[in-house]
Amino acid sequence: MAVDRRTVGVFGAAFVLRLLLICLFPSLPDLLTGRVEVSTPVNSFKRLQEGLYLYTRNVSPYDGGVFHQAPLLLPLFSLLPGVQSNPIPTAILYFLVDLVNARALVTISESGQSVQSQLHSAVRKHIRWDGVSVAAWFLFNPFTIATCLARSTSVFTTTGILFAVSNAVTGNSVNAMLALGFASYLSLYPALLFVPLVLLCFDQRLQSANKPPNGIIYGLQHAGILLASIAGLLGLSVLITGNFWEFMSATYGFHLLVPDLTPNVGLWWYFFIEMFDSFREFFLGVFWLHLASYVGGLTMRLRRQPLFVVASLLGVFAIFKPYPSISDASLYFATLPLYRHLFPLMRYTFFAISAILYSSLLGPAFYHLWIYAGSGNANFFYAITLVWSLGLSILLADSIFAAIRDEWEQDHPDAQGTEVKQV
Amino acid sequence: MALKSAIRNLRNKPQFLFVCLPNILSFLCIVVGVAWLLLLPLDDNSRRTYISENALLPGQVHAYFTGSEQNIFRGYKQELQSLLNEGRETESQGDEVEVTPAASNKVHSILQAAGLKVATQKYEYTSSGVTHQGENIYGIIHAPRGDATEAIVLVAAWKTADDELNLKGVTLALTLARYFKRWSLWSKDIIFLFTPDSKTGTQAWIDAYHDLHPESVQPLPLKSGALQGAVVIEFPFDHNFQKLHIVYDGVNGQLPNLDLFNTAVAIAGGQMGIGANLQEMWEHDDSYEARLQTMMRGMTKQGLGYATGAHSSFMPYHIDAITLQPKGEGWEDEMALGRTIESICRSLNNLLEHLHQSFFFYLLMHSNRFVSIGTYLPSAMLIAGNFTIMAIALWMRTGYYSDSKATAPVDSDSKNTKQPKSGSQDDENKAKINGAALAERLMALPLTLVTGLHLLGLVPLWIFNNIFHQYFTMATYVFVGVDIVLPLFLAALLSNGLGVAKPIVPQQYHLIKSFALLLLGLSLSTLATLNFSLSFMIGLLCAPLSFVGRLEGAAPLRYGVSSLGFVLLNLLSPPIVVLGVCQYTGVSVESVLTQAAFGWNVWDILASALDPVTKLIHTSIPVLQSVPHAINLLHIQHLGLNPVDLRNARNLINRTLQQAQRQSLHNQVLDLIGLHLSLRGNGIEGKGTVVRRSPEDHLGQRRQGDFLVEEDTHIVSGQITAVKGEEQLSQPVVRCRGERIQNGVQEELAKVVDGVGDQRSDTEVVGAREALVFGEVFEVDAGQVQEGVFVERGKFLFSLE
Repeated sequence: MAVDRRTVGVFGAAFVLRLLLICLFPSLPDLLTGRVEVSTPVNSFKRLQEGLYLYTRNVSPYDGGVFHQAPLLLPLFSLLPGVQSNPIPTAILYFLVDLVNARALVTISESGQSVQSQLHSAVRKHIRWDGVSVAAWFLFNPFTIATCLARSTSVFTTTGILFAVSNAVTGNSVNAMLALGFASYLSLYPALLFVPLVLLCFDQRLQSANKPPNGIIYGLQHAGILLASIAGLLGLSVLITGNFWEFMSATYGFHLLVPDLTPNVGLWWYFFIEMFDSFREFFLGVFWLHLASYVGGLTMRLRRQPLFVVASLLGVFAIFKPYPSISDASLYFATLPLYRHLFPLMRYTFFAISAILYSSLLGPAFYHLWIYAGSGNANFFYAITLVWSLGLSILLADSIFAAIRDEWEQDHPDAQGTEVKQV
Repeated sequence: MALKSAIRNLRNKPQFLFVCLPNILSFLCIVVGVAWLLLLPLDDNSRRTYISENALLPGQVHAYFTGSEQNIFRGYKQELQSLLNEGRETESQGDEVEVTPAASNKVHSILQAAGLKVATQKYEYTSSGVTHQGENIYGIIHAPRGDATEAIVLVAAWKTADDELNLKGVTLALTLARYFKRWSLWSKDIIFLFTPDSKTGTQAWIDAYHDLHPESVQPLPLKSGALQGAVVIEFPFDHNFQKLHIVYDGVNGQLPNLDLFNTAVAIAGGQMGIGANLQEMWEHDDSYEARLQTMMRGMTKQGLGYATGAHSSFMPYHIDAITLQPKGEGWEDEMALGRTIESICRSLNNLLEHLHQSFFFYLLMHSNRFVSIGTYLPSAMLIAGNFTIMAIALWMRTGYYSDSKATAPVDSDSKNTKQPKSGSQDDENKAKINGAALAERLMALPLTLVTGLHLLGLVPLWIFNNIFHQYFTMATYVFVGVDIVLPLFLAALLSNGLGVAKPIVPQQYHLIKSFALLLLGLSLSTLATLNFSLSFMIGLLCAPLSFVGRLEGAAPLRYGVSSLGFVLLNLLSPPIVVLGVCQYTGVSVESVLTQAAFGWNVWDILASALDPVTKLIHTSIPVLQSVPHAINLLHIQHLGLNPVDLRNARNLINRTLQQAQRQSLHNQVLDLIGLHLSLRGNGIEGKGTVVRRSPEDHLGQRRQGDFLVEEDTHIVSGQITAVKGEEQLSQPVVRCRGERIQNGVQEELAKVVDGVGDQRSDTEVVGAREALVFGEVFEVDAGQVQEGVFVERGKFLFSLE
């Protein structure tokens, strides 16, 4: 693939910026690693270090209940030199992963799937940004940079998701399923993206193939591939850890049962702190069901734009996941510029962005008052996580409104631009 | 229905909705914000102070510091005085009183003679080309009834905050040290700290106490437990005094818990019969004016955020502290002050947990009247809100309504973006859509400009904190010049391009202003939660920015008004404000800026506000602070609490331990026995020491077992797994309490272990040794370690170094 000067400029600048940041402020990565907004129990680099330590000494990494990440990360990181003595190689690895993610975004953007797909053609399709701009939005987003510097392992999940999508839009449905399998293996929740992704692949297939395949068989085939890839990765994990049930319960069990209520930017921790134990299982079920229920609804309503369903689901995850961090938000923000043509239809961007800005400033301040100054309490921080989620929800709802409006305008060309009224 | 029609009316008048209404609302916000503040001193809005922590029991004990102690006081004073005089003669420094090494040695020997453990610490700070150096001396009284987990600090600086010689203050502290040592009722350690001055000494000491000191400051050889409170003693004159002046403002506008202040007032006023003053209001008649003045003085100090005394340095570490200053001429002598301090120490000694009950955010307007944050915060928030309102209005205006005639064609289309009339022709549609594209907000330039200009602020910040103090005045005038020229230049560049760039469209003016105001409102509302007064002051100074806009109309009028506005804005620019205030108060600009740079470099005034984590990471838990990473592994199994508390407790433990992890001496062996846990937040607060570990203790990388945290309020028990080690210190230092410091590890350790129990296996010895490797053992409680092969209830208290 030919690489033009602008791409090199953006990617190079992103790399140099990150390098400059860690060289000028050597304490910055450790500071960010400790922030609850960035590091959650399931993606914390510090916990990974703990697991790594046990792993390299032939103790089960899940002993001690600190480490909850996928076992395959361990051999990868054990190849790198120790972060305490030599942090640069690890940092470079994370920088490269960021660039790879940006590359996948360029592919997605250049496929034009966001404006023109099998079943849908956006009305304002000339208003769009090229791939490099989309990549630049991702690479220079402060949330992305913070996640990258904090060495959160969510970036690998991000890679899996973005590669699944980029392979799906280019028609490599098998690769897409393998990438989704990798992402689901790492953090479970990406498995929910299966349905819209298969639809995306299916639409691609319809476009290219003369003879349309049977939808049900197609779906089953791909579910098989996904399951096989996950099973393969799990098999490898068993080879590494030796104890299947131990790592299953320490990783996926941890995701599902949410035992660690360390504060994060999400909505779960405070709720479950306040919950009486007898209701815990019930509400765990309700919360997970709520999260999963968006898949069906969005996929059906926005059947014509499966890529948009994927993007919106990423936004849903960033709000309603058990352990969300700003890295999830940064992934959602990365997909938004693909829908540049919807921006003119969105109504509350300014409020949503103001709410997000307010909460990203007030969050650390209130956390400081709570934990360090001792003059605030947990409610301070929780209130801000509510505002944060509110900001994201407004943005999400607004973008979905815009997408539906766009579909409607496509169906009713004569009604373009008329005022809509909510009834 | 009326509301609906009102809204419809508004929609029909865009000029009013988008231009007038926001201005009115913003103006109202400012007016109400200021009026709110002025109403606070009224009886209805303020409250009487009260003691909210029952454990304090202020003034409920008899203070015995009298009679014979006065002779000792006189003796000490005489000795120090003569040493100071000698030093003055030999070094002939005129009337400048320097603390001589001889006097410091005397303090050292007096403390030692009184039976305290004494240590010294040298430090040196450099700021704006001025070097501050000195040596702190401190002594620790170990609590006869305590376990060295908590301590109270008494500070006497040789120089008071006003740079006077604090001879009687130092002498009083020495006398109190000797006096306190003989009491058996202390359940907290008492630390007596003697610093050369009020500005740097305490800062160096407290930083080193929490292991956060810079290179130029020596670490402390001797430490105690978590500091619960600090009282600074000043007595810089020879005659008797009339009233006590209580100073409470901390660095960065942080305040001590209101309970501490109330305790001091209650004891001074109620028990001792000495009146208490605050904020230099010597004559306070409790009238509205006096209250307002007191409050304003407090706000000014809070807003400026500088250290008002030796106590200020304690505040960033969540240690409540006040300074007691005797003032006026009366008949109260040093014994009365001593009794007050004794009584305050007794109150603090009663505390079961860190002061947390009462308010941390308050404005005091009299020694027994205050307003709390809920009452006063709206005023700063309203002022910050005015900027946000304006920002939103400007944003809407760029999208929905344009008042400019120059861009009429684009304008009409921009309205169409939202609601173009229906049309059936395809090309007509296309034209409309193109129009919509044109009317899109052009955000690249405004965003870049606003971000760039804000980043430009780092330049003066860096310059003023790094140049030598001689150049401060000059630099200020240079920045006055830059402040005048730069906006003019930018305005010219933007409006007609100066042949370099494309001139910008009116929409971009609005966007620039919108973003700038949004950012301002954002920062101010965040700041208001940290430092209310600073946010209020900045908000007021910036208030005109909301109403500045492009002018239309005849040229002469426009030029007149705009040059007036230009002058006004420049008058409100930071350098001019600094110059003006200096002129008004008669302080030289150089000294103000030297202070500011000193604050930045030494007290970390803003640095700590901007970057709380690095500075304040380890509040109040010195022991945990140096605990290596390892743990977070506490699975609480059973607990005599309800499920909610259980989960809170677990979270709190996790959090506290994570905090400890950040100090990452990574992956070191850690024995959890003796680990001090400090738990707080969300209803639970307490400190405890891990005192028990169950027998399933293994050699090697892993240990598992139950543990029991004895807390003040709850018992938390659970399980520990996975403690491991990478780097082990090769030369551990083991110190036993009551014995001299020794370096022979093996023997000392063996002795300790032998003394504890005889049947012990090698495993436990190794385990214990690993535990002891990191610090000093204060106490091994042999009485409790009896049964079996393993330590069942061994109480190893050690502080980790």
